[in-house]
Amino acid sequence: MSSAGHYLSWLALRVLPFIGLIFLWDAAARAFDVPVLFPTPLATWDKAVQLVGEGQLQSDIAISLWRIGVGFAVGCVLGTVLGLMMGLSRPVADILGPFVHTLRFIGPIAWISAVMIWFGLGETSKIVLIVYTTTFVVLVSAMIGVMTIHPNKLRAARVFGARGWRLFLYVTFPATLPHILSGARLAMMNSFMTIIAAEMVAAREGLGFLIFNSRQWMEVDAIFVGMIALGLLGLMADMLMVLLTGLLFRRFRPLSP
Amino acid sequence: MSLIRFAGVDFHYGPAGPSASAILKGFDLEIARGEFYVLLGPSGCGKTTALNLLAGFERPNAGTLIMDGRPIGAPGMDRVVIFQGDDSLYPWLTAQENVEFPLRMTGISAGERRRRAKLWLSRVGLANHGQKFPHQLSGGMKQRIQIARALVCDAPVLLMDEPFGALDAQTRTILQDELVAICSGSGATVLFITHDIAEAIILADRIGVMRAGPGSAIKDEFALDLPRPRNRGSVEFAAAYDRIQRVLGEEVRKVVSREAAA
Repeated sequence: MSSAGHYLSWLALRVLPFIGLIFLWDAAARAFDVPVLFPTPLATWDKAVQLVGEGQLQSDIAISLWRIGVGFAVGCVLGTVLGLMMGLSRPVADILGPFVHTLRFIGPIAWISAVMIWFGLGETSKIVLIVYTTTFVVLVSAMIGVMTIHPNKLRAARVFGARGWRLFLYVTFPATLPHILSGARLAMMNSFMTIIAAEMVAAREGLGFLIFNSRQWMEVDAIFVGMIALGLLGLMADMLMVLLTGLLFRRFRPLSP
Repeated sequence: MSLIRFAGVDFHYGPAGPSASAILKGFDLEIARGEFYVLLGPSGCGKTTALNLLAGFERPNAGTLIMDGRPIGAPGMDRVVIFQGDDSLYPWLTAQENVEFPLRMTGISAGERRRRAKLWLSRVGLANHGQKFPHQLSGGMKQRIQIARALVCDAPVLLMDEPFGALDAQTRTILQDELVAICSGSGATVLFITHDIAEAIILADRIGVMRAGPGSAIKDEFALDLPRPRNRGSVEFAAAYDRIQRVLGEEVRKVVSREAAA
């Protein structure tokens, strides 16, 4: 097949199901026949246009993304450092292990109440929760990454005289990097889930607040706008991460679809 | 005088005691300077353990292990290892960068590193593949990177742990012949491990056949003074194969019957 043909079939595979889904949604909404409870795609679009016109959607998106961005960045650094330390040092793994493996099952949502009491409704509480959820995913990936380096890679490095920080810098860290990157990608998804829960309970702005607050006024169309925005932003964040890791870390062969 | 000497070496994993299962017991081996020594044995007999002790990856529980008059210490560039399989290569480095790695650790300048790595890559037939990553190369080419990475160190001793074990028969034959060409006249002392008798005869000055474990040691040694390159179809080759097969076959049968009984 020609390359144009390939392109067309690619386009068809990506776009047609999407258009199909919109039609399905439209049909379902018409069948349900209570536009206030189940708005059509067109009504949802109109609501989105209205929310953008009022400036509300942009500001909610911006504030949610900012919280995710800061918390995710801090969590990635924290998780990487702790995970590398636990993977490299048996005593550190023994000391921190039980805490880590207990805490990572106390999900960020379970922490919302306590974090709200401690940090209030300000930015700190949301960022703390994003840091928390990111840290554990990246930590576990980094730790497993270090522990699964093939012993011959380390043995060869020792033969060639690499010790201490040089062994870490030239072998251990690059060998672990693909694991850290795929951990970060998973953590990004967790961050999106956490921010919504946190903003529903403890915020006055953000996508989570938009979705949750619209319930009071029965604005299902606004709820849909918030949910769709969330999904599209997540998709874009994921694509951006794949693109960036592909550009920056190509030689480390990060796992990507 | 021998360059490498194992005398009465014992090795076992875990704590000592009557329950400790010995891998090596009273292991003796002497390798002369410049000699190509091949250690043959049934699988699981402790060949790799002997190499790991010499490399410094493991420490003996008893006995002496000496190289060049000094006891063996931590791993070092004076005895470079070529591992089985490609797990020891660094997948984030190109072939060229992999070969440069030991020189980089030694602190040799970038220009000199590049020059020496290029030279060795071309000697192992990878002159046009230096910029490729290991995953872009075949199994045989990856082992060539390992050989270049070891030889670029100019080490007096090379330790090879079944380096061609995972390759197909044709590639293995080609690499064996190339190794003979590279090593002859290099003056390097080699300890080469394999369970392939033909490979041993192609390469070795001397072959040691190990007993089936546990508590293995060398059962018999064969000196081969056939001229190189050796012809796999010659009468002398067949005679040597037959002599060694009789000794090794007995040990392999022990392993097989023990496995069947278990």
